Amino acid sequence: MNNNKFDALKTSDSDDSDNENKDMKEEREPVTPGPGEHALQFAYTFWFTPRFPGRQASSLNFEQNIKYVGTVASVEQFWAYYSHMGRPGDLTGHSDLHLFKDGVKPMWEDPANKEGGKWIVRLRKGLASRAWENLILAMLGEQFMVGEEICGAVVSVRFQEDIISVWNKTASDQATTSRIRDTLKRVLNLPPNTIMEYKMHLDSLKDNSSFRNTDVFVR
Amino acid sequence: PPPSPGLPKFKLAQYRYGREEMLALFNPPAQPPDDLLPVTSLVSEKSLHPLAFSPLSEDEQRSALQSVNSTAVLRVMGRGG
Repeated sequence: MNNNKFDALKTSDSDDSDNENKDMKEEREPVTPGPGEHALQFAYTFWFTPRFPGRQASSLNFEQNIKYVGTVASVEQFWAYYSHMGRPGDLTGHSDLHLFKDGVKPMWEDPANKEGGKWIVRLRKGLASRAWENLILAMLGEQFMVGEEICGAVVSVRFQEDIISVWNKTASDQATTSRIRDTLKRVLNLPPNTIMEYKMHLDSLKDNSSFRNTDVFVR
Repeated sequence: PPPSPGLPKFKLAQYRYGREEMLALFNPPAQPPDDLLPVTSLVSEKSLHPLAFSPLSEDEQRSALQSVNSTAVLRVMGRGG
């Protein structure tokens, strides 16, 4: 455990030293399913944020720190990325792995997100890897059944806990947010007493915090 | 829980895959995709199987029966930890 900080520093440095990382503004070629592949309803993009320990995460340096990882448009392309990524539970230090619909930045300020919010489940260490896999399989497979409301998913690795979030477009649409909560409970096999929180991105922008001052739900 | 009531009709997605269908299509390349390679702290040279193919660990089994939440959130909610 004591090595965490140093590992995080080291990995951040190595990620930062490469100069070919595509930043958020760069135009990319659209990704399409290959021949014979199984198309996803939407193309999705993986992003990775290796945070620098001890530095305040303002939205400015958030945008500088975030790394484009890759875009997938078919089930086969998804597995090609996912199978060659470290599991969230094995990541060191303080980092976030995002999977968002292509064209939606994993930021509160994005037009697709600004009226939205997210469901949050704060997990004990040791549970995030499987929860993340279950969540993204359901999201890519269109199992949430809320039309086009889903924006993306995030797993946030922290020192004492790991946090799973699902972002949706319209925070005020209670029927949709309830369905997302109930589906999340099923696909993650959450026990009945699990604490789930919802936070509107507008509130996150106000208090500049992702996981504080949430609305709490226990079922 | 039962399906949430009160949701207006929505269009069914054209491309839908249940969990087993997603897993049945698992057949990854031996090498990581090119775009992934520069993200050195994330890439795994070796191809990893989905966790769905591995049984739950003892800790995961215990959590499923008790609580999955972190001590931090339990403390905030006044449920100790």
